[in-house]
Amino acid sequence: MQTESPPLAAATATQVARIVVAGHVDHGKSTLIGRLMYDLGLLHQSKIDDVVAASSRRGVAPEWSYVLDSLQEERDQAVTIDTTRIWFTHRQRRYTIIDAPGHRQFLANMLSGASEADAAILVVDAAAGIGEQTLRHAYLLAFLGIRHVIVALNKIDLLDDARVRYGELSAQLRDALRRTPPVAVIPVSASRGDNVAARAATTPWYDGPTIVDALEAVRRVAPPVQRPLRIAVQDVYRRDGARIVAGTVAGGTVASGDPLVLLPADVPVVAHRLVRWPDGDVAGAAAGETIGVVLDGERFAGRGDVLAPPLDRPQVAQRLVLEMFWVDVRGPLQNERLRLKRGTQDVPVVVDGTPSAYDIEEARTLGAAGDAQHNIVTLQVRATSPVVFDRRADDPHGARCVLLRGSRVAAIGFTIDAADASGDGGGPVTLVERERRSGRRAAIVWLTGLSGAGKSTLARAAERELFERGIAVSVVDGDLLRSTLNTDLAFSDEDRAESVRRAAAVAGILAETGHVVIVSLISPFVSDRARARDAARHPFYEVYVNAPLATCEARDPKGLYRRAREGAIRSFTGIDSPYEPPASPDLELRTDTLSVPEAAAELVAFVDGVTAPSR
Amino acid sequence: MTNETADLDQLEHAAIAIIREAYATLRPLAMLWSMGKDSTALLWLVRKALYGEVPFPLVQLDTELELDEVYAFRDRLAREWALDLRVELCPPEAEMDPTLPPATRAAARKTEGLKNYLQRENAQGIIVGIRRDEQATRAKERIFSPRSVGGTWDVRAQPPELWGYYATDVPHGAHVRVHPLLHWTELDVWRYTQRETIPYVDLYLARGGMRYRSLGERNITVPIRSDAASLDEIIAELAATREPERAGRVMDNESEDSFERLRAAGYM
Repeated sequence: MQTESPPLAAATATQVARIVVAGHVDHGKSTLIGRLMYDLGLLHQSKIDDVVAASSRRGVAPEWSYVLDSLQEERDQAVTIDTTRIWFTHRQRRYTIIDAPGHRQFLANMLSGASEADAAILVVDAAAGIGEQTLRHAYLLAFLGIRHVIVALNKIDLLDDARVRYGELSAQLRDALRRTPPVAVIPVSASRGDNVAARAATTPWYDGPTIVDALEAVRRVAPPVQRPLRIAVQDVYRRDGARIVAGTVAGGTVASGDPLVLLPADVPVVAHRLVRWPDGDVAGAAAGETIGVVLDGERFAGRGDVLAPPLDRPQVAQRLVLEMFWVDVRGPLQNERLRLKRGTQDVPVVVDGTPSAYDIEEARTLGAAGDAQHNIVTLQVRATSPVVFDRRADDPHGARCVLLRGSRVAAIGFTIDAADASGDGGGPVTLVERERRSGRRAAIVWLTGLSGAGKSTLARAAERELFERGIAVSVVDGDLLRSTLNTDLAFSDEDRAESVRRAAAVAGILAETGHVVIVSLISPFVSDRARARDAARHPFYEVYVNAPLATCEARDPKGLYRRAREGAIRSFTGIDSPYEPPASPDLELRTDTLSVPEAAAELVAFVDGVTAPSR
Repeated sequence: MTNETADLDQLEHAAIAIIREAYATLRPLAMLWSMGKDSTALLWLVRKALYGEVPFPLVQLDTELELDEVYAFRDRLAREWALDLRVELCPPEAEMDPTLPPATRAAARKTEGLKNYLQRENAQGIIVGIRRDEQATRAKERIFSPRSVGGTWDVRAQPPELWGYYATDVPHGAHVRVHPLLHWTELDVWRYTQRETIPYVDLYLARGGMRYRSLGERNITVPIRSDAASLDEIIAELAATREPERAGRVMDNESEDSFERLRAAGYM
């Protein structure tokens, strides 16, 4: 049903190139960039004056690294602490130059800068030779998938016989960088400007490109338009009655009318409409673009879900093998609990078995992950719910993931494969397994309305009927919560909001165990109910139990209206606190005209319909 | 098909994805709006990202020293776009760190105003329209920049940030600054403003050979020499200039580290 070709603008643009400059500390990365800026005439005179003045205050010759190293501490210690960026346009092309720190302790910062680069310049001090971080940076560039590496053999002005040294070092480097052979090895003096923008008279034996020539040859890495479609759902917005499933197209293309599958739940859907604001409907979207998808019918997508083509779908599994660059000081421990972020999924995982570390510098496997930090760790994890991912061998982009320890990033890397193809069996019981056994979809049915409208009565009547039909059902009742969980809350707007939040949380926990949960709570404010719906990780239905105030007050089953009128109760909904009815409830029950059995039957029929397994 | 603003499309999609991440993961969320070109373009991007709505408060850190045209612009847009505008009055200059140079001290008022807002509203996330190219220390920023309980910025302890995975966990009392425009340049903002026909304060346009390139308070911002009286002319001017954008901001140029000190203490 691919109707029209989607717009490819984001994919075909080639005017931008992002270059990371990496290498061992003190090998001259920042100086090279500063020099490049100077030679291309990109520095304002005030910046040049600033560099000269700041250099002379510290008693050194003009130090071009000051152009980038802007922090006081960096200038005083002559070291780059975090990545910094420089932008310029040269020959109709936009460049972003990212200066990555060379100290081992700042490797995480180097990764942050390098992760989005199209190409890298690896700076090596020709006098000092290959440094510890030279190899580590080269390995990481390959790990991140950066294939275009330019080597700048810097400080040739300090050598007696530059030609011989260049020959030796370029042979060593080409051997060390076998994983990603460099496109060029350029003899450079950043402080003197040799072979940066202009060909140097001091290297007549070199006939390769200058740094600027090499930059001009860099090609932008385009978003993976040719890959199968992947949209990780970021959020769902309700606008004008439609539920807009928002996300970025991570790979491939999508057109309105395309049949898709919603994962991990494995629900067939159709991309009924594709929408943007203020444009409205659009025909298609391609990798790298954000989009909103309106799915056909009542389909409940949520953050963490993935939209993919039915036949070219990603893997779904609970046990996974990961290959990670370990950032944190402490390596992973067997049975340790971590968090896996993959796409917009954020899932608790347990480390299974013994992780194994590979030492980048020594190029050997260490076995048990004692010295994991700044090395590559292979480990197996067991997730508490199914994870949607691509194998790195199939699609490195869809395999990118992060492991958190608490709230801190512990490692970054890739999903390699499912460890256990069956997915189920062993490990925590998942919602999918529960739903498969109960034959029903879990859901939250939220009854809102005035006190005395009949919410609790209907909730209990529906619960009985659903129970008799063998459906796992629970009621979360506002009065019961008031006397148990919410004894600390009164009836201010803030306390009401909190009570709605707690009721939603309790309902969510029950729904996670596969139950159909009926919530009975006045919940007078539209905004509180909207938050409850947004927070629900399950299908959520709003039911307006509607009876006029006069009817409710006449019923007054608990004598509360009388006491409110007498002033014994303050902030009573309907009397001296407002009730905001739902604008478009999923179901409305008029309890002033329907009998209890009639209204309960309607509610049961509704619940039965929305939790049916075929949906 | 050629597209002369394909680079803007990339920036736009990236910013929209960032705004949606912030809205999905940080509650309560708010956004700083200075009525300048950057935060107004950002406001437009928020409406794009969230389908026409701005479902969180827009905070103006008010020193009562903005130019009259800026206040008029604020009130007009707040009305037309139905914005939840919160005007946060900043504490007086007399309460600021007396060791700061004078104009830097004036700017520090906004840091304190922001702290007051965050503390009172317990905001977990605050969207800010800063760009890396504005000022060298801003170039070190993360897109999601966690701030400690005091609102301070520790450049040495920033989390790794890659592949769209952001730091979204906030300890109680702390918050995350979100910077969707971090990769944009001044020229991008103007080209985007023109392409999308986003409203802007007309003080940016030259009158009598002078225009504002950056809009700050009356007492610490000065106009620059320019004949650029339309967006086309501003774009042409910026494509050629090497004059730093914040040359008209007094505080940036008082001493080598004045801006760094401001930012470490929590300035935007």
